[in-house]
Amino acid sequence: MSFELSPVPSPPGAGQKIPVVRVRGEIDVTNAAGLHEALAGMAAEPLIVDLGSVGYFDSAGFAVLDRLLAQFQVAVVVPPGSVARTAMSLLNLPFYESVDDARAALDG
Amino acid sequence: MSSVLPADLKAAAALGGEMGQRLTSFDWAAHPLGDPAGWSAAMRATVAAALASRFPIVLWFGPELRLIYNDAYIPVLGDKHPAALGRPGADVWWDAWDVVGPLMDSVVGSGVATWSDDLMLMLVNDGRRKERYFTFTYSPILGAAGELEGVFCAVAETTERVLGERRLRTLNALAAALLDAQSPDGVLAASTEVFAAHDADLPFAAVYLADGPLAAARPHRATPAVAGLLPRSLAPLLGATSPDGNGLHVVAGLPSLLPGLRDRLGDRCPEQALVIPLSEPAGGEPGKVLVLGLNANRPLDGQYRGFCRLLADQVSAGLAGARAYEDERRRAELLAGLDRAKTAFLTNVSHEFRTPLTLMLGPLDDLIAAAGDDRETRDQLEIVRRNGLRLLRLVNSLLDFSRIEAGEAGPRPAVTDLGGLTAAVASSFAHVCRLAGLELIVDCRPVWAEADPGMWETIAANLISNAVKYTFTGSITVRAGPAGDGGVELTVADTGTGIAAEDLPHLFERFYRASSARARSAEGVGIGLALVKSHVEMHDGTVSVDAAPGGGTTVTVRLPPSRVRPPAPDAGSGAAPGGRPSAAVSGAGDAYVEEALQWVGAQPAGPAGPAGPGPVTAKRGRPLVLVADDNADMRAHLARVLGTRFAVAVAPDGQHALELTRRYRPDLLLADVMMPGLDGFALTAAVRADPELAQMPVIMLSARAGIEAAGEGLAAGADDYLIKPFSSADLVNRVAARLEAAGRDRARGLHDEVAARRGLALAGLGTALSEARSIEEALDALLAAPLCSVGATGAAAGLLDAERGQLRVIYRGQARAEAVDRYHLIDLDAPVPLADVARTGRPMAAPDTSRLGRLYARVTADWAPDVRASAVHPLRAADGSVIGAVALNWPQPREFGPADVEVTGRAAAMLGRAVARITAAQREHQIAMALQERLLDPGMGSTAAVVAAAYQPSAQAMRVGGDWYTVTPLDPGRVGVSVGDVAGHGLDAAATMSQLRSALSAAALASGDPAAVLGVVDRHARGLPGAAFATAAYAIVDTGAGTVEYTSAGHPYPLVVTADGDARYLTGSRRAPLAAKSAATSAATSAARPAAKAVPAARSGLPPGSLLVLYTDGLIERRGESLDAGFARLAAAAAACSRLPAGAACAELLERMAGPDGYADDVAIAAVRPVGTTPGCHVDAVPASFAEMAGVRARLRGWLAACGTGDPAGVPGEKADRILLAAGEALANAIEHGSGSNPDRIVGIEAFACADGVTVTVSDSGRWVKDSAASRSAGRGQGLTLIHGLADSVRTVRGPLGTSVTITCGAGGRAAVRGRRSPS
Repeated sequence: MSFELSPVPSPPGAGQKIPVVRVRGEIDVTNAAGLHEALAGMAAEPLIVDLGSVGYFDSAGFAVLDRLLAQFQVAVVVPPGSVARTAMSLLNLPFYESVDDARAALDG
Repeated sequence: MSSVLPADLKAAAALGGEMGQRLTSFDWAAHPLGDPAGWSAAMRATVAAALASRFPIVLWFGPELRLIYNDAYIPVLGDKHPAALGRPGADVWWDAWDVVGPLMDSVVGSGVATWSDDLMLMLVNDGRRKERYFTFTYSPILGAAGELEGVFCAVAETTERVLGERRLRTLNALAAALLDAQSPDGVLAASTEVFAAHDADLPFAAVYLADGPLAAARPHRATPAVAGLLPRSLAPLLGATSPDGNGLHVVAGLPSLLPGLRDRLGDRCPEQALVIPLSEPAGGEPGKVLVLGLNANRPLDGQYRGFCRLLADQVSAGLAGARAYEDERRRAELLAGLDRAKTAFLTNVSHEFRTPLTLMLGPLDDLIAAAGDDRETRDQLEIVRRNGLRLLRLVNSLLDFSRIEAGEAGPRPAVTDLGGLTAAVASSFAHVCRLAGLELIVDCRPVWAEADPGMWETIAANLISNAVKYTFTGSITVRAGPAGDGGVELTVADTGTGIAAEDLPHLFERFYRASSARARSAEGVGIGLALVKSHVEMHDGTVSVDAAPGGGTTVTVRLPPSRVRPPAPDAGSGAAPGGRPSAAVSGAGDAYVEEALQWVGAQPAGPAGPAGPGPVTAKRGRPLVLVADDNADMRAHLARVLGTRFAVAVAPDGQHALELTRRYRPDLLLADVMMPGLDGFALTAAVRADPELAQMPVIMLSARAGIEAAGEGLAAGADDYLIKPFSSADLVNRVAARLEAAGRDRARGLHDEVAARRGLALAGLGTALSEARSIEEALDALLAAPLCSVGATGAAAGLLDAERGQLRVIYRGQARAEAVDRYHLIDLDAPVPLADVARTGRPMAAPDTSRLGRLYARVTADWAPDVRASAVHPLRAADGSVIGAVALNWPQPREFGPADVEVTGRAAAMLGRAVARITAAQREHQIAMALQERLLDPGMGSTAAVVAAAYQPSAQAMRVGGDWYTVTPLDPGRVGVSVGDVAGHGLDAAATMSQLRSALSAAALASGDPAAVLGVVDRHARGLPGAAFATAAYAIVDTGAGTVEYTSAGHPYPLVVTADGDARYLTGSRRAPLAAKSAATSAATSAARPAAKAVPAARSGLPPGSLLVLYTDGLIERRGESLDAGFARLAAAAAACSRLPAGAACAELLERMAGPDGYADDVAIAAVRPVGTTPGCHVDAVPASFAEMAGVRARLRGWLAACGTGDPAGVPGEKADRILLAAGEALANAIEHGSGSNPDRIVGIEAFACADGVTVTVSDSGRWVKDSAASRSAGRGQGLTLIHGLADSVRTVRGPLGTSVTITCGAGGRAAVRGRRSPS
């Protein structure tokens, strides 16, 4: 099982931007620890995590998010219709509809 | 230098894992067996086969029998591996060569294979001897020319099973021995005897007694193995050890602690012992401590520890039982003493009463005579006289009886004409019978016998008076005369109300009063017939009753022949000519006649008195009091007394009283408790039940004294209770007070009524609990009694599992499935009220759970909104020990008043005793089931199919049965499944079953042909004493080919059910039952029919999605039904299960096929659904490893996209994601909790699609032992939230053979989940 983290380029013309990282692939108990390690490594500064492209994301992944949200200044983006959306709501974890919303919140 | 392997071996080595590599890199050139290229074809083929097999196999080659083995054999070798490869057998197995060497020699010498079952070998590993058991066969490997090239050995280690069976035998023997023990010391003696007889796991055992600290305990009993060796206190043994969590001390270094032990026990000398305190010192009895020596050749693992704990628990339970028995005996002795004292008291009192009564009655007769024509005075005096006589009779009866009880009053026999005496007694009833409208037929012939005339008179008068009492119309026939055998026979027959069957056996018991019969009066104390019986028995006679309700009663008294001849008329016996005794009638019978007169409501002289039935006074403006009493005199008396202040109506019984109450609406009802038909209690209840009358004050009258009787009256709804005798003034005052305070009473009466109703409800709960057979039923009973559970909507009983430090919780009533899943196991230290109460034994009430504070925040949140208030009480066994806790839950906050706390506390106390009883009763069942499960544990699953099995012991007896099943994974894509049945029950059958099962498993690995496999098992069965006529069916499911190959040996047909619900039996390939004599004989005697003419296996299609069902005959057999009918029932039931997951199908079949009384025989059933995919169904099976999850998801995702839900595009994406995540979480739980992430275990996935939606079932073969509840922090605990949140419904089934979770997602859309979206 593998996942992929790809940086999302900032829109042109912007100045100092909060980095955005997009998670792809499937997250479960076999690779959740790796996800935590990778994201924690980037989260020394404020970070936006975009879950809009994951194919599968289970409770092991949500536990990772829970820890990240508690430890770091991290915003999670789960756009409508994405795989993690319903579960995210069920578990009562905070999320944003879009990268722009997240950025506005972190900047503010 | 390593040699180059030839191609065939090279290929096998590549499949052979570690041993394949070792074989490849081994320096064969320098080895006596030489370069593999030079090995014979047979040798190479055997080595290749062994390497590729997953079954433990060892091969022995060359004159020194050098070892070559496969990976599966490594655990057998332990630390002898890897040095063992290529070394001589005698070197490797030096520790067992004395046993296996001769076996090997016999194979080498004769070429005949050996078979050893559960052979014990003492193998040395890590420098220690270990007792291990193996089932194995040595067979020759023959070369091309038939010469012996080596020895082939397939071996299965059976240590676990052998130990399990042996320990269970010990436990059973202990249970049996303790059944008969009646004192604590008897329990200890019996236990020690059992321990001595079962010393394999208990080299020695001893009991110490402790009055104070454990270390000071003194030896009490011991098995002979340590007699005289034990220290005088436990101090030297305990030394510096400290108890583990369960209070067990492990003592090490025994040989030095107990000098002489090694000399006595030699090799079997234990190194370790367990010290287990059984009980605390209590009630002057010392505490008991068990010291168990441990088998030095077995490690003290969890199973061994558990076994010792079970032994200790059984002895503890035996001690508690024996103490209860002793208490019972002491109580019985006490009661006997009380009885003697009571008899003495009665004797004295009766004496004291008789004298004044007699003195009163004499002058009374004079007064009546003197009253002359003054009718009113005479009537009143007659009442006094009649009741005086009645009192005298009662006193006389009591006196007679107490004399008899005291063994004093023997008969004073005289030669008497009993026929004549009977006629005289009977004639004195003529008048009363005439008044009552009864015909009295007297038919007495002279019969002389040696008897006590006074007693005979009592007998006859009692019987006739009873007949009058219970006969309303018709006749009474009194017959006396010589019986056929020369004795005396007296019969009193009536046409009265008869006697109910349930009263018959008690009729002659002292103080027993038939409650059912309609009678003229309910008066009497119930000693009349008891007196008759004892009088008759003192004459060596018998009394019998022939009666039916409504059909009259005939009482027959028979006296034996008494060898007397009638005296001559001049003998001066007092007998008048004609046999009639002139002076025999003493007048004692008069009292009976006088009493009977009262019942018929007539007065011997004068017209009816003022107390005739019906309303007598109705003076305007005065409150109306209705008097109900069956005694005419009492009625008259009450009417006269009350008539001075109130209007009075009277009724002779309860039924009339009720009618009059409805008609006249009296202001107060005064009712006697004892009335024929509707008695006082029933009358009051009827009044209270009528809303129009419910507020009417009721006063009860009774001669039955005591708080108990008063309580009964008040509980029935009476406002007041008067005990006879009472003074007239008292009666009037009480009635007046009741009437005046009627209004105020109504308000206060409500409170009394609630309390009384609660009391009644608790009594009702006690009855319901005593009938409950499971904890579930007990909880239901509690919830069904809202007065006891104070309207709780849910209840949870947590049962303490001290070994694991957990509560196992059972929920009834309102409870969310998710919360139940989360809290079915609760760690004792978890922040959950149920655990707190079970730990501390102190009750706890939470009027509003949201105010419980942070500690309980999690459990509060998990249970909202079902639980907003909770009352938790400890559950205690009869000895006061805490065995768990019960919570009563309400969905709204509520205040708990003192009465609520009290009533729930009492209900919990009753529940505790019921739970203790139920758990004890389930214990034997559990032991039997545990053994069966241990014997049947499939152990291996297959990734070729989802396999589920169920076992159901017979309903009649809880015992180990002979049914089995096996699951054997063959090469990928194929799995062998068998079900079989050994005749009989018990451990012998179980042992035979287990051997056949092992043989079948081994044969299944060796051959892929079902016919050949059953052939091997048949040959093996012929060597087993109990295996004759065992039956078996064996089937190989080939997932790739979509087929099943099978053979049945005398076994009911396997059944295939397709996904469409077509059920058909596999009727081919049938052979005789295993080890059937007839088959053997015909094969042996008929040379023309060689034994080789075996039935070939049959083959049938098994399309994807279909279910193969194997079962034992217990499933289809029913008494009085043909086997064909049973097959038809099964086919119909199975057709209905076609789309159920395999586990649910087994359970459903067991449920549907059970007869009204359950199963007469035990039943094993196995269901196999091959892995595969169709539009309607998707089946997957994978090793329990997280690494498998992604593959399972990918396959399930693919199926969801194409499955047949009516939508050509399959399940839409969003819903598919939900199903995938819910199923994925269930799968992760099954792998982690259900299988302990052990890849040898298999997790099955069965998904079905239909127009209504999709169901996915994830099943594992384990029992979840880890707490899935709140004590776990976030992490995977969120899995349950997701499963329950994403699926439309979730159903979890936990069974002994595994857990299954079924999630259902309907076809329609669903409400959006509202989340905590961050503010934008």
